[in-house]
This record gives sequence, C-alpha cells and structure tokens, in this order.
Amino acid sequence: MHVDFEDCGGAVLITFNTARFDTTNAWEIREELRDLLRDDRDIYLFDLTRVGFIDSSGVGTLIGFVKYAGRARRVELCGLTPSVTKVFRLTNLLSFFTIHQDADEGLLSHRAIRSAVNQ
Amino acid sequence: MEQSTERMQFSISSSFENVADLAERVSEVCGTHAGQQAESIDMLRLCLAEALNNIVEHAYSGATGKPIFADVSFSDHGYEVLLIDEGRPMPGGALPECDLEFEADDIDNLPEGGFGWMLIKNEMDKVDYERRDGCNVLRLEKYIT
Repeated sequence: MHVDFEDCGGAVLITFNTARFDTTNAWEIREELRDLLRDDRDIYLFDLTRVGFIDSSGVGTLIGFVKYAGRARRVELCGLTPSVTKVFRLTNLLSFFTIHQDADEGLLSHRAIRSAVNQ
Repeated sequence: MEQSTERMQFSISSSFENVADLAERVSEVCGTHAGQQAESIDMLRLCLAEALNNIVEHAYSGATGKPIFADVSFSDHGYEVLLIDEGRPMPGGALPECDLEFEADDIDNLPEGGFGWMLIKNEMDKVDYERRDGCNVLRLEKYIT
C-alpha cells in the first residue's frame, strides 16, 4: 500500500508512505483511494508530508478523487513539501484546495467546525 | 564580448525508462553548463519528463523502439531544449490550450488531464511547437535572469 488510512471521527486521514506520487505509481494509488470512497465520510485529509516529488499523473489522480468524491464530501491537503507546493502553484491548484500546515492542524479545524455546528 | 553557445545532442529509443533517463541527463547538463539552481533543475527534469512521456504515450501511442532526439544548447543567457520525434502530430497541429483557473465549487468542470502542459508552459519562459519534415519539434526555453 502506498497510502495509510486512519478514521478520525467523520474525517479520514490519508497518509502517503511514498516519496514519489507520479506516473510510476499513480494508477495503483488511484485504486487504493477508490476503495476508500465506499464508506461514507464527510472529509478526506491528505497528508503529503513524505511526498517529495509529484508530477501531472499525481495531480490528475488527486483531482480525479475530488470529482469521484463528489460535491458533498470535502477533500483537503496538509504537509505540502516545497516542490509539491510549486507543482500545485504551476497547475493553478493552490487556491483550489484548503491546505493545512500539518495533519494535527487539519483535523483540529474540522473538530472545531463540527462542534460549532452541533451547538 | 561574443556570447559563447555550447550544444549537445542526445538520441534515444522510445520507452518510459529511457525518457526518464534522458530527462535526468539533460537537466543535469543544463545545471552544469547554464549554472542553474538545484530547484530549477528539479523543475526542468519534471518538465522534460512530462514532455517526453507525452511523446511516448501520445505521439508514439506507447510504442517502444521509436526515435527521440534532444538538442540542447546553453549560453550565459539560459538554455534551449529541442525535443524531436517522428510520431503523430499534436491534435490540431498546436500545443493544447491550458490557461485554466479552477473554481473551488465547480468540481464538475475540473479537468483530469492537461496538467503536464500547464506545468511546462508555466515553468518555462518560452514553449513552442511545430511540425517539420514529418517530425514533431517541441522547443523549451529558459532564460537566466
């Protein structure tokens, strides 16, 4: 598996174990991610801390996941390395995603939103 | 002072392994000769890999053993890389349009492809394409500022 999943109360944390997310493994990762969407969850937080290299196949796989997840589910990112940030900037996607510093911050923001909604 | 220009040529046969290797060699040469920063070299390697993968995947429809040439010249002002193949021409005879802006709530209209060309066009200073003598000629230029 290239990615680990962790259920964090309504949110799923998806941690990449691979240093590359590119044409060499994008198809396998796409399959791993699609299995994940069978369960009903509101939020998918991708932790890309370990990913030092992403190419257009990796970007396309993430965007495919966003489309497949649909409008009702949120997809957010955290832990973007400088080179990943640069690729997202060059493909005009930096402003498309909500991006958190790290997984703790990303999960914290959702707990805050959920508790505000439930009040 | 007269500007010195150096030139190197590379020839490979099409395969995904060979183009990854070519991207590595050409970006290394540009780093050494044109004095680029490590970060720029990483981006050049990525752009070359994207362009070369397109050649294998689309121009040659995944066929291996077809010729690909790279003609690299550098000067004090930057470098220019020509990538030449004998495959099918670009659809419409031109580079794909890819000046897209994405709206966060407009997921239905998100493209799933074309990101490679966006990367190349936004990272390089000049990109052009022409069909010449039955070949595709893609020119990538980067200036040193």
